[in-house]
Amino acid sequence: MTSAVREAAQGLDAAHAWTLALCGLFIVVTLAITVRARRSTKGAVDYYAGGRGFSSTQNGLALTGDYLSAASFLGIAGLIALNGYDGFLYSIGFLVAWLLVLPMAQLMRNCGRFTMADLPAFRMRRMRVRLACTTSTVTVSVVYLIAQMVGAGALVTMLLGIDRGGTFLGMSGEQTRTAAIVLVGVLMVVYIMYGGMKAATWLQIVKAGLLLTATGLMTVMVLAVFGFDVSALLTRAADNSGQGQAFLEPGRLFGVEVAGDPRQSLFNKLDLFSLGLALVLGTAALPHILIRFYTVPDGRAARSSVKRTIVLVGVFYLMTLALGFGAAALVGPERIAAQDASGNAAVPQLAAELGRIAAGPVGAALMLAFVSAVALATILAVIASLTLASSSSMAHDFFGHILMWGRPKESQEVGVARFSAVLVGAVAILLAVRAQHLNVAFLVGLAFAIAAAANLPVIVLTMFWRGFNTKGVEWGVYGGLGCSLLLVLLSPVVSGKAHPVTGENLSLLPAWVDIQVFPLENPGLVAIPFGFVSAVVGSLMSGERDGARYREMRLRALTGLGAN
Amino acid sequence: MRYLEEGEAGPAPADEGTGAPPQRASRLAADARFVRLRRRFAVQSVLLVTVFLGWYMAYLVLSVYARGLMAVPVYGAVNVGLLLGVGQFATTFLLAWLFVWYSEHRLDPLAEEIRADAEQARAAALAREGRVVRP
Repeated sequence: MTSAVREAAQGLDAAHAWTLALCGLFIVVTLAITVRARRSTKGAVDYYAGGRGFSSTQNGLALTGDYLSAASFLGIAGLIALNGYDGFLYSIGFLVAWLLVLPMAQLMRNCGRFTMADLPAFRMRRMRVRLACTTSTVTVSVVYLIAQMVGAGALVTMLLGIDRGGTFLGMSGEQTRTAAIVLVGVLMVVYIMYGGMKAATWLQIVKAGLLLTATGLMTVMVLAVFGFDVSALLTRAADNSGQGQAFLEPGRLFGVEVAGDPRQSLFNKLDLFSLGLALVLGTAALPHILIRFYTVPDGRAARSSVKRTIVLVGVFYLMTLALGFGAAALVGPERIAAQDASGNAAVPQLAAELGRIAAGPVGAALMLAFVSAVALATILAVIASLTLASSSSMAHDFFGHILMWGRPKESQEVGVARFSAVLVGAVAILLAVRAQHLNVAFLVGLAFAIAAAANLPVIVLTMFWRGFNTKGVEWGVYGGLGCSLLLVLLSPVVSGKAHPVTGENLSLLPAWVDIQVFPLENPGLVAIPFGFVSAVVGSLMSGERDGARYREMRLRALTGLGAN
Repeated sequence: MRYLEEGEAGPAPADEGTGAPPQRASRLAADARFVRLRRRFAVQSVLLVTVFLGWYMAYLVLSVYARGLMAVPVYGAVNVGLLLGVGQFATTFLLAWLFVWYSEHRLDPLAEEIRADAEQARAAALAREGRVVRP
């Protein structure tokens, strides 16, 4: 071993120690927050909705924290670093989606109390509506949870540098990965079980602050390296990529032209539209985003918290551009791909590089540690909110309104919510441990597609269509959900996809199983219209109408009259 | 029984929701001010969604089918595609700001007025009942 390599290895060890220390600090602080939140959480309004006392700035930050997962922080920057322009397409979809949330926020705040099911249940027969909404809420949350937790496992081994051999505290990479998944799972359950929405909100606020600080700092450093000349940064990134100017143009990752295969080229392009549609329409219907509107005092505050979120999320995604191109320019695609093929390591590597430029090996260790700790905080916060969304729905909708006929004791219902958090956490940990070797990147797109196909029709038609009814809700939810899941099962992500050059199997199932019928990887393009159509057809097949409740709902939605 | 759903359909007795019996809800719903409020909200929402979805889809179409155009350099290494992408951010901020401005200036005061009237009418009704019952 040469001395330079040994020195680098020691620097890395220092970085790992710092990472662990910072993560430990984050966990201690958030547990302290949880204990405080537990003390002031007395009833259902506190547990589910944080007492409805958060300001729109606080909630805007918390929404930002909820929304920006590790997939945004590490994933998109990595995509940009490896694929250039096309990584950017992702972030645009994630941002413009908030313009659909903007008009809905006030209406949802005024009409609901704790969960998504409260909206349709305002004007329809309660139980079947609530059962349908619980089903889709839990499905979306668990799908998203698994993606995040598997990501957490991979991230920890990567950050500890033991993903390709080596040990940590005597554990192999494999064992560390499992341990990491279990640890983040247990932590998220503790936050939610004890602290409910108050703990979740403060956790998100802290995390959003950390995340924006880290990206802001790195952006300034990247731009400073290039003398604040964006064109110089882009030129260096393009040169380094080995792809020249094509790196700065669309078509490397999405909508790829396959030479001599016009059919596949068309499918690739349709896939981009499918993903784009799912991202834009899914955001407004993600359960963990929806329940956040109930934490502010009124509809107006819900709307202005979305306005603040748009600014924060927009600034964040603009900064990921600098991070992605900065990583391509300063670290280079070979080194990024060598550590992690999908580019998830680009941001930590860039952080170390920037630290080294600014302050030598110590700076590198510090920056790497800071950014790694922020990445872990990001994952932890997002999964905590997802757990809260599903446990709220299970306790409030399923237990409170179905099992107890809408007449549970408040303390009983909150108790069930805490228990549900444990249940959801346990299921998610088990599934994530089982799925840790699978490539689950598609699950994020799937969660958005299910939200858009199953939840969005229900929300929109409840608000704006007089003729919508119980059967419409059921058909919409089960139709959209079933269609999304079926199409994914029959899609190339599950079976029948091979690398065009190497012939390597790129699907979930082993190469000998081939049930691929549906050509797109994201079901959105078909499943979302299907969800809407089946909701409408279901409504038309039932005679149930309640014009008076609909009028009352509209009145409340727009004026806030009687909202609680 | 305070914990019952406040706005639920069905037999829930504690419907203190709008505090308005159905007749009053429908009277308010027919109020000219509420009709105006509804129409303004519908127009601004439909406009917002059409503009942003159309512009986003147009952007996707351009990045799939007009790759030559997206590659045209504008300033140094910055090309049309990057500018249009950053343009999506700019229009998102602009549309959000416009929507919120319009809501705060043209919708909220109207909604406030309707709500205040309704709450006053309800208080008056309660007071009348109170006078009948109490003495």
